[in-house]
Formats: sequence, structure tokens, C-alpha cells
Amino acid sequence: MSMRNAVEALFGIIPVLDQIKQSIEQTTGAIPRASIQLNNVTQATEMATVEILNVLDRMTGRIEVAEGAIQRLRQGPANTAESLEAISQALADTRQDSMNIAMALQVQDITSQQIAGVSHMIVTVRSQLLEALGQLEPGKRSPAGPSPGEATAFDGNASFTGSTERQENADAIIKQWNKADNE
Amino acid sequence: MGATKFLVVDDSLTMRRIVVNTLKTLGFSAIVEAADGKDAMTKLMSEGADFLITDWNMPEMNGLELTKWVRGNEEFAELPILMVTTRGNKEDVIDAMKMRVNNYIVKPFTAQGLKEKIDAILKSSNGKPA
Repeated sequence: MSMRNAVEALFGIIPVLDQIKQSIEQTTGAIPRASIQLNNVTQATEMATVEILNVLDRMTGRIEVAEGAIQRLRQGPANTAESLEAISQALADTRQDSMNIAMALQVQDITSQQIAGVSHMIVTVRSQLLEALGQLEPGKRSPAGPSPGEATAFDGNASFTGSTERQENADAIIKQWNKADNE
Repeated sequence: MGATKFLVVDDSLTMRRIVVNTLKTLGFSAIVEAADGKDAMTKLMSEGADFLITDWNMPEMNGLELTKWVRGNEEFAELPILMVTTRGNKEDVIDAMKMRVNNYIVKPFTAQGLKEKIDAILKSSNGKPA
């Protein structure tokens, strides 16, 4: 190969290397986001678990109250009405607690969307890197990236917090919308 | 109230269970489930419903697309729709209102919050769209 051809070949590689560099820069930017998102998953799971444990503690207390009332009933009819009321209240509160546990289990849906977001990010990053590397080996096919439909089946910004702020904000927007609509 | 037939749409089995159990606790017993928008369309056409509770992010057909189809279908145009979603951005809420959902809940929700939204929709103008 002549010197001219060698130089031309080198100049031809520069845009490819530049594209690879850009891909690497994009992917290194994605990695911290993925890490943050996984931390969010951990936090959400812990928050929901603590909530469930707190509810279980309360349920244990209610069971003890009911057991105490039953014990008094066994001893005689003296405080029947009071004991029955205590049992009824304990059962009602336990029913509410069981619902609170069910509500806390929404964490499963939320964290699954967060994880799906991270997974999508990883697949996209891999696809970009392989496409860039494919420039160096033109004959080799790069694997397809994620399909557009996959990106809409989850909300990568899903969050599990103890705050009602997001619902309050949504309610304010709806109120404003309805007001404007009626004017 | 108890005779209202609900169609609950969410690709998460856990979420469907939570919504269905909450509806049952609130006294509703006529409940049908669907796993995505397309499944919901099929169930609506074959079984009908009086109230639609739908997630947003779902495969095949998302909740917003389902809402658009419902509002564009003469048979279901007045169906009360409650969007229950993790999306809480201002733009998302506005997009949903533009598509004429009746109300909007951000996950995670409380049983009381769900009850209040359902009650409000059922009471307002015979449940006509916003």
C-alpha cells in the first residue's frame, strides 16, 4: 500500500473512531442513571417492607387485645358486651391493616417498572456500542436494539414514596383543567 | 352502587389484584379484568362495562390509546374512565385530561383515595367525561 493510500485509510477510520467515542460517552452517561435507578428500587422495597412490618406489629397488638377479651369472656358473663366490642374493634382494625399491607404491595409494580427502565437502558447501550463496533467490522450484523413498543410498556420514572405530593399535584391540575373547561 | 360493573386494566397481575380487592372491599362485586388495552377492547365489546379503571403503561395498547379508542367509539363514548398510573408529571395529567379521562390517580394510591375518586365520578353528571 502506498503512503497516500495508508494516510487515506487512516483518515477514513477517524469518523468511525469519533462515532465510537460518542457512543462510549453516551453509555458512560447512562450507567450512573442506571445505578441511581437501582438505588431507588432498593429504597422503595425497604420503605414498603418497613410499612408492612409496622402493620404486622399493630396486627399483633390487636390479636393480643382480642385474646384478652376472649379470656375475660371465658371467665364469666360479667363484661360480655365490653369484651365483644373489643373483639369487634380488633377485627375491624385488622381488616384495615390487611388492606394497608395490600396497598404497600404496590411496590412490586412500581419497582418492576423501575427495573424495566434499567434493563431497557442496558439493552440500548449494548446496541449502540455494538453498532459502533460494527463500523470496524462492516460485514458483521449488529443485534437489533429494543423495539419502540418495549419502551412504552413501563414508566422508567415510577417512584414509591410516602408522600401524597404527586397525587395532590395531579388533583390541582385536574381542578384547573375542569375550571378552564367550564369557563 | 354495587351493581356497577368495573373493567380493571393493568399488565401487572399484582396491581389488578390490589384494585380488584379494594373494589370488593368497597362493595363492588361485578368486576372484569384485562391485561392490556387490546384485551380491554375485546372484553368491552364482548361483556361491556359501566366503569373503566386503566393503567397507562402497558404492552400492545397503552391506557391512553385505550381511552382514545373508547372516546371515539359511539357505544362506549360516555364510559367513566379513571386512569391509575405511576405517571405523575404535569404533562401526563394534561395529556390524559385532553383524552377526556374522568379522573386520575397516581400510584401508589390508598383505598380511601380510590374510593373518593370513584364516588366523585359516579356522582358527577351521571359519570359523563370531563
